[in-house]
Amino acid sequence: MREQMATRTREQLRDYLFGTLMPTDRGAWPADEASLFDHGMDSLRLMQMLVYVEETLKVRLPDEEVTPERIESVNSLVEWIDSRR
Amino acid sequence: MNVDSLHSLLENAANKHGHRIAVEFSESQITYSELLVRSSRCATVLQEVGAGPGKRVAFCYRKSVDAIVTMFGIIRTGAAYVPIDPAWPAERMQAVVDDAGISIWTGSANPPAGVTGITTILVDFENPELQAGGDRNRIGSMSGPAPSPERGVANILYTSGSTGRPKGVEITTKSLMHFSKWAAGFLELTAEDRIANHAPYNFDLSTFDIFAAVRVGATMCPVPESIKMFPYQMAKFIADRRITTWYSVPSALIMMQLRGKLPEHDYSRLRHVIFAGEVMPKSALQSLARELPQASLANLYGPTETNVCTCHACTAADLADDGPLPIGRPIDDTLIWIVDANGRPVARGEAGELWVAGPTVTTGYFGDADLTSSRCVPAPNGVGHCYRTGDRVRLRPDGVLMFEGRIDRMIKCRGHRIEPGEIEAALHRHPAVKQAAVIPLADPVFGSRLKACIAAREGMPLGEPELIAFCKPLIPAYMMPDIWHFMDALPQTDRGKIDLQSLVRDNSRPSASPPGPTP
Repeated sequence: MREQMATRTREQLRDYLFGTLMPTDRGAWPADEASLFDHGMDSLRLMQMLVYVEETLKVRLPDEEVTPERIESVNSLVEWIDSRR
Repeated sequence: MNVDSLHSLLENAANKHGHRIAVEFSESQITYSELLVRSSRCATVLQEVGAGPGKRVAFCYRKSVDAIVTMFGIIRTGAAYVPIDPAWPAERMQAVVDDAGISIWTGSANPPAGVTGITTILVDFENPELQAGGDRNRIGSMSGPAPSPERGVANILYTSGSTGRPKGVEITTKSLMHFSKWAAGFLELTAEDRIANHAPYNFDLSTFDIFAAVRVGATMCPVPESIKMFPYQMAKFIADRRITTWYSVPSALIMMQLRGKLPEHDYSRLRHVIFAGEVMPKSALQSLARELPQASLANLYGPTETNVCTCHACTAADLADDGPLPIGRPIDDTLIWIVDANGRPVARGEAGELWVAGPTVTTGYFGDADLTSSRCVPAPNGVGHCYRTGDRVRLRPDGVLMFEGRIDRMIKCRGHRIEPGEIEAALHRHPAVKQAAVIPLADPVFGSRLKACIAAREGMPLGEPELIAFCKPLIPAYMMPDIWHFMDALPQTDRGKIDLQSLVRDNSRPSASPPGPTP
């Protein structure tokens, strides 16, 4: 069950990040371990992503826990989000 | 205090406050005495490869102690430093290198492949091997008085250009000396102050953090790049580093106000919060005033070409209503005119373009006499020249200036100055693009977001991914449009030009999801 949820989170997050939020070439979405900072993550997009996670995925992400390490990649984000469920 | 050059500011600080910390960054720190010695040694290295008056030296650094050492090293030689953002695409870096005639590159890393025709000097005084007696420690300090830079140009700041190429704004020693003197007096800065440095070095805001600090012997505290996107970490940085003076674009402050949990931190040392570069929304200002009651708030105004030219210290009356915040009154020795389209002063209370004259105003654009003569025009009082800001302002009955927008297409986005023409020029390099227009979409936090409207040539299908990939090497990330809209044809005016007003009108709906915390 937990694994299924993580997979779903990953799919939703990838769709949002690379399909909507980031200036990403749709034909070449970055790998899950790739640095989001190298693919256009900036302050505005970070704020938008936090709102997306809180409103769509219904997971509250405490401001004090938002660190470079946690939003480094899709992998680190999924791990963090799942730990907050 | 008898100082007449930027380097003499440092010499004076080293004489008076030699033991005090000049720069504190992460786990590193350097005193004013050390900064003077290291920057003089850096100057020797730079001189050996030809740096001096009349030369421009690329300065490509993220925040660090070495960056400040190198900046003063370049200043010491009499050369002008040209900040280059390490995040720029190589093509933009090369455009600046070519435009400024740069032959010497300084930085903490080699320039990217594709940037050519330069001698690279990597300054790394933090390297323990160098500190323990490596080659650099055998290099002597540059001696004798610091030569004056050619035509008094201390640095060249490149901003977005409407023709598709960035333009280099010449910032003079006189401008930086005058501005830092005014700022230090206005804020009553002392050697006890700890001044954050948030803005990148290629933003004119950073000149306050550096030269006002050195003028009084205060401590510069550069904000690490790694936390600049993280509101809580930045808010914590201000408290942990006991910052007394914070200067940034409003969007950085708004982020901290929204998600930085300001009330959790101890800001008892914070005396001043100043902002510039874009419009500060009144609601955000009111929240900041509530959450930082001990700090004075001030709105500084001025395009890169004028440095700061007006200032408004926020009052209780400003906070009591929801109207726009004034940009204030001219700073010392600055003259302003509000003029109509023919350059004639408007009647008091009418709106017009702001023209500015004074010691902080640029001498022009490096190597571009035509652009210089179009923007830097004879002052209406017949004395010297003034700069046409392109900003539309109005004088309020009480004598303060109100900003009312642009008379041209320039967009401010998170403090970045963006000429849509530069993005459109990049888009038009794609063979399938027939028409392209970039327009601003209002954003409650970040001022504006960018929307690209594109029409493709017949039989040449085109999509967002392809254009993003195409533009990435051509424009900085902050210029990449957030929203892409493909149309059969862009609307046109009677004269056959793209009807930008119509595009903006059609897109003036408020954004659906303003970024903020979930209640």
